[in-house]
Formats: sequence, structure tokens, C-alpha cells
Amino acid sequence: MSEPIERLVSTSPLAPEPRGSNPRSPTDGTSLPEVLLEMIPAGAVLCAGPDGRRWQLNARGRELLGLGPEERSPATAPFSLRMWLAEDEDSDPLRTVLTSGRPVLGKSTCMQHSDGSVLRTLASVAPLQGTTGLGDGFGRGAIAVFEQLPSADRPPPSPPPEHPKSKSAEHTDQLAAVGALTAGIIHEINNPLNSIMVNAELGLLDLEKQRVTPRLRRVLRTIVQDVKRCGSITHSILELARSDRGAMQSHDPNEIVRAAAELVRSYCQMHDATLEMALAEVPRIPLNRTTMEHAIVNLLRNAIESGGRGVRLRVGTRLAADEVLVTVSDDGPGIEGADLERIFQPLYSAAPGRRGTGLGLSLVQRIVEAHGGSIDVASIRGAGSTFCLRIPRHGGDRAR
Amino acid sequence: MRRVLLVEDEANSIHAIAEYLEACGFGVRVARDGAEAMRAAEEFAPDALLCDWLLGGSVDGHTVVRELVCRIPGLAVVLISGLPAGAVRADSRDLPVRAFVAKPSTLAEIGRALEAALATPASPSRSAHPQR
Repeated sequence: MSEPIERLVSTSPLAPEPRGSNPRSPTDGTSLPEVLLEMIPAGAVLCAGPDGRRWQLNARGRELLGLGPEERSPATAPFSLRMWLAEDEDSDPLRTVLTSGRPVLGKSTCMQHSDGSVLRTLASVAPLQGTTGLGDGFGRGAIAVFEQLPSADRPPPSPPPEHPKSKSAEHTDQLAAVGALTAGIIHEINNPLNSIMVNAELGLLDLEKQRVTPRLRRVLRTIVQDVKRCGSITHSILELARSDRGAMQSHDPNEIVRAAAELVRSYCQMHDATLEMALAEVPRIPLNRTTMEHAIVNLLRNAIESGGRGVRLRVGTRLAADEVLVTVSDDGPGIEGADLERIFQPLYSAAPGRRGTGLGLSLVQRIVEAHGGSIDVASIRGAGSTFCLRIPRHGGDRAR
Repeated sequence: MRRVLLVEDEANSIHAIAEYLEACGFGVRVARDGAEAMRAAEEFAPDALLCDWLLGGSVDGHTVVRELVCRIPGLAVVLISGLPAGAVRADSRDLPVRAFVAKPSTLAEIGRALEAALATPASPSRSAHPQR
């Protein structure tokens, strides 16, 4: 650290906000993102706005940095924080993620607050879309989740090896991934909750008049439907949170595809969908079996739901250079150009009548990126869509 | 009869809310997306607009409110959203919104928000020149 702390403070996204510019006072009601932030069992910083000037540090983060309960945001105490990658003192991962919208996962980092002491951490930073609850409205934010590394007083001479990662590193990454979905989840759960509320109230009005009306049956059916909707959202979140169960191990991708196909067999029957497999010989590659199976199931279910009754699906694997490709194709109606750009966003659902939770494809993207891979989609209106997972044969730089 | 245009893309709640407001004595027209809301407003001429903030389709809640307050002077606007009310307030600060409802909400809360919005006098300086 060669720069004076004042300069760091003035250029960092975690610098104190100018006095009076934050409309929230410490006595404001606590928002759901703030509650979730406090509950994260690792250190975490949530920041919002294009310049990242609104931010908040959680309880574990204050503990790691030796800060008091008031020192959680520039709105509650006059202090500042700076974070940089251990390999590059001039880096600013929070600002990088705010600008690029791409996560930075499992990096050796340093954190410094106003008193000058440096904390060595292992951190992941993920972008947020939606509202962070920091009074910045609906926009872009970021969450950094970190745990302390040994030798807190000085940065390491070189970055630690990327593989194999410790259990805590994987857990930290997953917390960041979950954090990135928080805003979408709040909105997606509040909508069915609202429907449950208003329908239950209508039903009660009928019951108070001792009337069992067709409307009563209708509202009860709607309530059941909406409870199922909430359940499918929490199920998706649990799947992601559970994803540390099976760490990266060498697996046959075809085995995982067969298992995923088996899991959607009855769902196919329900929708008169047919599923064909075209599995080429591919090598065993490093995979997290639980999450990869979940990703392929999600792609298949998405194709069944958006393809309509009688849709024909084809799932295939093949080796292309240093990547194993897993493709899921359908002969459904295809995806509009405008939708194609947005289907991986957490809130977005292009399924007719918005049957999906709008979380499935963003989870798939996060899972394949956690393997160091990528996902792309090609679609022709009226002729169907093909999703392609590209997974590095030897584990990518970003794989965890 | 006071007329309310209800814009909501949640199929499961829109009819329950509409039935309740009708029982309260409002004339109600429902629209499932922004484009339908624009068309419905032409002939329905609502006194109040109860609009979901994040709408599916190409016309979002912001556009619906901005356009309709220009076309219908004195329109009482109430926003409803599953996002925290503070976030919606911040994003809609350039619009003449008179009340906010945070989901999940009770039918009575929705009714009270509409009554309050209809009882609030319009602010000409804001509604005449909406900006974004």
C-alpha cells in the first residue's frame, strides 16, 4: 500500500457518502435485503448505485474488521472501506463488478478501513439487479462476500492456487451467487403472496355470509396454485444453496444427462413431450454433479414449458476442442429477438403466461459459469431453440 | 361512479382486486399489460389508475403512468409492486404518484390507497411536465 488513505477514500466506491445525500436514517425500517445481509454467516458488503456510494457492511464483516455496531454504513458512522485484489493493488473488484455486471469469484483480496489496518480475505463479488434496499431504487448493485485468510497484517506475495478450493471458498462463492438473486426472489415471492392475500380475503367475505359459492372454490384453487409457485421458488434457492454438497469431481457428462432426462420423464409425459438423446463419446471432466444435473433439468423443463404440448426435445453431448458441449434443443415456437437478450436475467420470464419463476435460466447460467464455462442460445421464430452449455474439459480459470 | 383502471400482469390477483373494488362501488376496467392499459384508457377515461410497477411486455409501469397523466388531467395514480415501496418511490419520483401499495397487501389497504389518492388534489406543476 503506497497511496495515502485519503486518496483511497476519495476514489473508492466504499468512500463515505457526502453528508445529507442519503435519504435513509438509521431509524428507517429495515428492508429485507438488509435483514438477509445481516444473516449471511460470512463478512458481506452490499453496495448500490452506478458509483457504489451507498453501501452497508454486515455483522460478521464488522467483526472481522474490528468495527463497532454503528460502523455498518457511511450513513451511520464516518468511516470508509477499500477492497482490492491481492494480485493487483490498484484493482477495485466492487467497482469492476458494478461496471461489468460479471461476478468475480473466489479471489484473494485485501480490505482496509479508515484506521489503516489491512485484512486479508477470500472474497467473491457478484452483481445485483433490482433493488438492494439501500435507497437507490431499482438499479444495479453488487455484493461482496468474504472470509478472513491467515496473515491479516500483510498481503500475500502471490495469489493462492485456484484449485483445489477450500470448502469455505466454495461456500463463500455460493453465498454471493444467492445474494445476486435476492432482489429477484423478493419480487417473485411477493407477487404470489399478494395473490394469496387478496384471494383469501375474498373467500373469507363469502364464508362470513355463510355462502359456499363458485367464487370460494375458485379463490381456494388460486391460493393452492400460488403456494405451489412460492414453493418452486424456494426449491430453486435451496438447490443452489445445497450445491456445495458435491464438490468438483471427475464425472461422465453423459451419465449426468441420462440422470437429468430420467428426472423429467414424468414431466414430459404430462406435457406429451418426447425426449430424444444424442450422446456422443465424451471424456470425463471436472463437474459438480448436483448443480450440473440441476442445470440440465432446468433447461429441459424450460423447453417443455415454453415449447407447448407435444414439443419434441433433443438433448445431446459432444466434444469440441477443449470443451464438452451439452445441447438442449426443442421444436417449439422459438424466442423473440428482444427476449433472447433478457432470458438470463433473474426476473425475466419469456414463457407464455409467465408460468416460470423467472429464475431458472439465470440459475443455469450461474451454474455453468461456476464450472468456468458459458451458455448460449440460438433460436428461430417458429422453428425452435437450442441452448448450449460449454464446459471446459480441464476445468476453467473460473471453475470452482 | 368513480372509475379505476387496474393494470396488473398477475392473472391470479387481478380479478380478486377487481371484484373487491367493484363491491366497493368503483367502476373497474382491467388491463393485463401496459399496451392494453393505453388502449383501455382511451375509451374508459378513468379517474384513478392502480398500476403494477414491473409489468411484463414492452410497455412498463413508468411509461403507462407518464403517458396517461399527460392524456388524462387530474388522474389519481396509485402504484402497487412486489418491490420494496422505497425503491418504487425512488424510481417514480419524477411522476405524480399519489399513493404506493407494497405487495403483499390486503384488499382494504388497496381500497384505502385509492380513496386517499382520489381525495388528494392534483399537483399541476408535476403532472404537466413529467420528465425522465
